[in-house]
Amino acid sequence: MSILVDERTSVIVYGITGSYGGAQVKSMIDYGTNVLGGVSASKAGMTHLDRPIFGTAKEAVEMTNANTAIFYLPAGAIMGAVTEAIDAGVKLAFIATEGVPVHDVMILREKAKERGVWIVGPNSLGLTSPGKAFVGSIAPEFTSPGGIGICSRSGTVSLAISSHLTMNGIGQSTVISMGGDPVLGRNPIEYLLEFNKDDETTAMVLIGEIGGMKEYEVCERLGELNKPLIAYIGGKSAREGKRMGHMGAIIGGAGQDARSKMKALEQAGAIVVDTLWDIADVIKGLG
Amino acid sequence: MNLYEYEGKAILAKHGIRVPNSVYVADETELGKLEDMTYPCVIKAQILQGGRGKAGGIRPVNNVEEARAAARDLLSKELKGERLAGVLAEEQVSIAKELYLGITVDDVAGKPLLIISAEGGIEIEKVAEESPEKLVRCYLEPGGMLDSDSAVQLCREAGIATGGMVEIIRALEKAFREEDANLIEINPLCVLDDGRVLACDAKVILDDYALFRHPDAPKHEMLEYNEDPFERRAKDNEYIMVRLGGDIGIISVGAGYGMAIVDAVKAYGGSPANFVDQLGGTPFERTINGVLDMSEEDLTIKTVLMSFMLSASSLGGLVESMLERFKSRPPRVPIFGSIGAASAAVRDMDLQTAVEKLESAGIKMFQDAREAIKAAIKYAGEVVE
Repeated sequence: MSILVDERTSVIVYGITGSYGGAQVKSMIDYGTNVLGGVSASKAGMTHLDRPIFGTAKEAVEMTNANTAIFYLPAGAIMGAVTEAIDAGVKLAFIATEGVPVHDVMILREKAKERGVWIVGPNSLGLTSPGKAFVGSIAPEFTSPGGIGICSRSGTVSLAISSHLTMNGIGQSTVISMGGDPVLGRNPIEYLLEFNKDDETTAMVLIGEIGGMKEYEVCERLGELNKPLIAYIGGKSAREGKRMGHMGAIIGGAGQDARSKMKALEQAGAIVVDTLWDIADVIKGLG
Repeated sequence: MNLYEYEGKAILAKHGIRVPNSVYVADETELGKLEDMTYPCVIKAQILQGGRGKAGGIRPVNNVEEARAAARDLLSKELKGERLAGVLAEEQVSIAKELYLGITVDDVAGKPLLIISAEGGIEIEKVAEESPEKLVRCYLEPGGMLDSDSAVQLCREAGIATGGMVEIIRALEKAFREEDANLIEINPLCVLDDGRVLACDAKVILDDYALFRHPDAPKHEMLEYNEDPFERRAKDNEYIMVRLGGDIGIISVGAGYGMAIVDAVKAYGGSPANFVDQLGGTPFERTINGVLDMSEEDLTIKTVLMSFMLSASSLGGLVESMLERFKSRPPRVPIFGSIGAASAAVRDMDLQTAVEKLESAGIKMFQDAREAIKAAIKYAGEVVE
């Protein structure tokens, strides 16, 4: 098993003709991801990367039965496109776009939850179930099949941790870049609960960072997880009030710094590591 | 985007929330505007940090001469290390009661969170700590509108019987949504002796990501005198640099990975000089040049560590930018590096070619990021100053 994406994942893509989006989609197709087509009102009827382009999500889903939609669109177009894809009946929406207004994300998150749709992102590198599905940009070359479920607020760290575990002979069930923005489609605890239900996953890795309070929600609900949780919180050297890249990564009020989060996770029962490169050793120690 | 008080109050007024009568004086050439005020009044320094009252940034004045003197004095200096954006001259009000009203984005619930309290004013943080039940909280529906009954109920729970509060709460929610705010806080919201309810301060943060649909929104950075020149240069070139004071310069791609590298340098006993992140769409060469320029100009930097994990952005583009830079300006200090790259990143250059090119340019390359970090720390430790 794995979570959210597997052999049954079938994909339609918004922004398939863009240079960035197109390059990612080509890699997914080369790997074997079931990419069924694109969606674009202005390019309907054309083909790209040998895939048909549909005018609407409704038409694309009716024609292909796709269960997943990918968004490589400008931030201002996300609200309309994701709403349309949810209405058309996709079950997973992966939003790669950085810079989506937070009020749009809040509305989409509510709508998706009501319909039982899972939004990954925004500002995400996607998700990969090694050997099964590659949706986004977490390159399968960095991953290997196995039992560790990974969810990371940072996209680049999802690459680094997969690669580090793979080099150490430790495989992953699913690797997820949850998104770097303050409000996300789903919170870290929701991913962890999915991993907890997954037969193949034996232990979970959470990559958090400074800013926001979502890691404390994980602490409160850690009792619901019966698999080991290893946590790394990035940004111990951050300066208060300085934005460290991600919109989500500004130390604001009390508790939003890395050390407070590490302490709380440790007290709640997680295994907390000091650096990213300690994680393989900890997993080996779990036996 | 953090707004100054005068900008925040303009937004509140636009949405029907009353604010004290005032004039805004941007600089000395506008001191004449003070003639339009009724006296006595207060002169308030416009800075983005809190705590300006204690720092002497709020001055009561009795007549226009005193107002000019206070304004001229404030405008001539900085407050808490921050340059003033101007001063706001505001009517002096006679306050019967100070309330608190604010809306923020709750990142866990993914919804706007409204907070209201009958005990506003400068002690609000103490109230929050000592008697949190006095802060009444309510999640708002994203994109929705609080109905009047719920607003009445909130006021009742908070113990606020002031007339007109329902309209103020609804106006605030509308402002929060329509202006794409991350935070609007009115503290204090003052009930005056004459019965008026006025927003006497305003802290507003707008969503930077939504500025594209608010072309008229204020656009500014905090005005700081003692800002680090390399951080300033980064801002001008649309990337982020945070200086950390150490002797190992760091070039990385991705905010989270950059933080992980900085953390590891520290954990293994080294001293990072900076954090860097190229924002979406900013070309690689800007961050590369930014860190390398810093290593040329700041002689306390002993080595540069570069580490990348790439799967989406082009590896070829990154390597070519580095080689070009080395050709035009050979680095002053040794560089240690590691790269992981796959998928769409290696479309125009494979990893082995990239590593060979960088090695022939003099960079000491490692397969494992951790080994590169340790090599840089070891080198920095051995350099005799």
